[in-house]
Amino acid sequence: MRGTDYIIKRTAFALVTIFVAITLNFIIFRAAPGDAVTGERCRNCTKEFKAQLRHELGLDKSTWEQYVIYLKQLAHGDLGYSFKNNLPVGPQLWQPLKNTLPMIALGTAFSIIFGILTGVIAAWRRGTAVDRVSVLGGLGFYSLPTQWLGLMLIFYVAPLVSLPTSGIKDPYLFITDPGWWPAFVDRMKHMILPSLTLGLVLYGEYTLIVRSAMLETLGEDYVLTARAKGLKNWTIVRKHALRNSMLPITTLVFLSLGYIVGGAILIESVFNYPGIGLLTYDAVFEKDYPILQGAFLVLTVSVVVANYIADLLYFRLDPRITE
Amino acid sequence: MIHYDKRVSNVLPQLQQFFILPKHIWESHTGNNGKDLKAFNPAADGPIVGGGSFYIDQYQKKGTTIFKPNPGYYGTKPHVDAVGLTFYENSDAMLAAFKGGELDQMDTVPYLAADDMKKDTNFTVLSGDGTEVRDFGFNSNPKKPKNRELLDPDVKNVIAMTVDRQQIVDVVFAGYAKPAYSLLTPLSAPYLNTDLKPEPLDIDAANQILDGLGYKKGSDGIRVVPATTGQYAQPEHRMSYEIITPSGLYGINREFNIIRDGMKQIGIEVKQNSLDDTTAFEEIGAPDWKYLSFDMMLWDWVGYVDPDFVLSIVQCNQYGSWSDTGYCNPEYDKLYKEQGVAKSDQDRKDIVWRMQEILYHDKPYVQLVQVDLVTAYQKSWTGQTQPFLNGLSKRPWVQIGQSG
Repeated sequence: MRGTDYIIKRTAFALVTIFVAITLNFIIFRAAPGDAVTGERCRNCTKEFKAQLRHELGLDKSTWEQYVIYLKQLAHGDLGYSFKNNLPVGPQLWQPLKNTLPMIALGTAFSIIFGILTGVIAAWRRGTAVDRVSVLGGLGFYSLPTQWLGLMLIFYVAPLVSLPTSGIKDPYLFITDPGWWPAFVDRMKHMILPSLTLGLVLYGEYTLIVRSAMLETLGEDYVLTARAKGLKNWTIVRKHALRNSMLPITTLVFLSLGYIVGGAILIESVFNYPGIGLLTYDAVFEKDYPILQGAFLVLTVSVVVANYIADLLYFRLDPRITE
Repeated sequence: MIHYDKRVSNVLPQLQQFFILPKHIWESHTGNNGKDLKAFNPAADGPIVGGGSFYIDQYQKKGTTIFKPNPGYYGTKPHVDAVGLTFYENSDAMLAAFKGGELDQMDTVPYLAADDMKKDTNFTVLSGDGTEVRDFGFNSNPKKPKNRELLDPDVKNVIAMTVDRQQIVDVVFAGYAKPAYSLLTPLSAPYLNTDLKPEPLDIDAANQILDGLGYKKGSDGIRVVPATTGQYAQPEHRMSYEIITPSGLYGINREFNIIRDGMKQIGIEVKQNSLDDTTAFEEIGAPDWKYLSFDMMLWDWVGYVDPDFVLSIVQCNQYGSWSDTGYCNPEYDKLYKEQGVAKSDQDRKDIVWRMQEILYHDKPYVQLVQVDLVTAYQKSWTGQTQPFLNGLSKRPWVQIGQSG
C-alpha cells in the first residue's frame, strides 16, 4: 500500500512539473524582445506586411489567448506549426530526435561502462597511482568545456583515424544506393566523435561520483566483515560495495540521461549533427516559438521521466525510501 | 516572357534578385486557401526548374546539398559527377574538415587562418574583392529625442576621424579587407564614386573640432554637450552613448573595441550593447519602427555587383524594412528613382555618384572596411576561379576537375 501511495505521489509530482515547465517555456520565449516577424528584412517588409504576418501567425493575439490556444492544441497532441516553414512541429522534432538518441545512447553507454569501471578501481586502489590518475583524468574531462573538447577531437583525433567531422552521413555515398551495411557503417562513423565527446565529459563525472560512493561503502563494517570472512576482492566489490553504492550512481545516471538531450546542443553545433540540439539552436535565432516550445517540451519530459524512473528505481533499490 | 511598362536601366541585375517558379510547379500546392504554398519548399521537394549547368539532387537545409550535372545543359559538360555544398555552423570544424581532406574546397576561409594555409603546399588560397561592407551606423531620424548632437554631420565626421580602419583590417580581418567609404565596393565599378575617400584618422584634428563646437571635457575626461536650442535643441549631457552590435557578425567585438578606443581619445564614451541579430534590429527600429531610441550601431551590408539594392536601403520607404539608420532624404529618394530609369550608363553612373556624395555628407553610416572573399581548394583540383567570380559565373563548377 505504501508503495502504491509512493508511486501515485511521484506520478502526480511528475505531471505537475511538466505542466509548470510547459507554462514557463511559453512565457520565457515571449519575454525576450522581438518575435518571429521582427527579423524579417526585405524590400517589401513594410509595417503592413509584418502586421499581416503577425496576424497569420497569431502573434497579434494577447499572450493569454496564445497560451490558451497552445494548451488546447497540446491537449490534442498538436504541437502547432513552425513559424518559418508552416510545417507541423511534431514530425520536424521527430527526425532530429531520432538522430540525437542513438548518438547520446552511445556516448552515455561509453561513460557509464568506463566511468563505473574506473570509479570502482580508483576506490578499491585508493591512494595508489591508479587512483590518482583516475581522479585527475575524471576531473580533467569533467572540467573541459564540451565544445572545446569536441573541437580538439576534430583537430587531433579525426585526422588520425580518418573519421568524419561533420553531419550524420556521407552525402556522396548516397548519390547511388549504397546498400544497408555501408550506410550503417557510414552512420556509425559519423556518430563516433560526437558520442565520444559526450561520453568523455560524462565519463569524468561518473568516475568521480562512483569513486566517492564506493569509498563510502568500502568503509562500512559489512565490507570489513566480508574481508574477514576471506571473500575474494571481486566478490566484495560486486556483491557488497557496488550494490550498496548504486543509489547515488542511479540518481546521477538518470539525471544525466534527462539533461544530455539538452547538452547535445553544444555537441551538435560543433559537429553540425542534425539532431534536436541543432534544431533548437537554429530555432532560438529564428524565434520560432512552436519549434522551441516543442523542443523544450521534449527536454522537459525527458528530464521529468528520467527522474520519475529514478524515483521508481529507488523504491526497488532501497525499500527504506518510503519510510 | 517579361514585359516592362516603362524603361528600366538595370533589367538584368534586377532579375537576378527574383526567383521564378513556374505555374505548373506551384499550382498543386495552393490548397488551404493558398497557405499550403508556405509549406512548399521547392529546393527540397523539387523538381527544380532551370537551365543551368547543375541541378539540385538532394537538399538539406543545414546539411549538404548535392548538385548533379544537368544533362540538358546547352554548354560545356561538367567534368565532375556531382558537387556537394555543406553548411557548417562552426568555422573551426570546417577548417579541420578541409585540412583533413574531407572537403575539396572551402568557401569562406576563416581570415585568421588564411595566411597559414597559404604556406601549406597542399592548398591553393585565392582572395578577392567581395561586396560586404562593414558599417558604423548613426540614428539619422531627425525626430530622435536624445543625444541629438549625433544628427550633426560635423559630429559624425569627427567620430569618423577616430576610426582606425587599418587596425580593423589588420586585427579583425588579418589583412583581408580594405578601408571603405561607400556602400559600394570596387566590384561595382564604374558606379563606385572614386572621388570620395575614407575620412582620415586624425585624433588631434577631431579634438580641435569638438573643442570648437563647444563640447568641453568634464573632470572625468568625457566631453559634455551644453544645453542648446535650435535644430539640435536638448539639455546638457555627457557624450556617453551605446553602440548596438549584432552578436552573430564575425569579429564584431574586436571591431567595437577598436572603435571604442578611438572615440575615447576624443573624450567620447561608448558602451557595447551586444544583442542577437533579430533583437538588435528590433532595438534599432524601436519603438515600433520609429527609430527614436538608438544612437549608434555596427553592422554590415552585402550587396550585389549592381548598386541598385544597397542604394535602396536608405530610402524613406524602407522604415521598418531594410532601414537600419532611420535615414530619410527626399532628394536622395528622387535620385534613386532616376538611376533606375536612366537613359545611358553614363547618366546612371553620374546619378549614383551623386547619391554616394549625399550619403557621404549626411553620414547615416561611416563605412569602415570592405571585406575580401577568401576561398581555398585542394591542389589536386583544377579549374577554380577567383572566389567572387566563381559565385557569379554563368557556368559555376563546369571547369573544375581533378588534375592528373
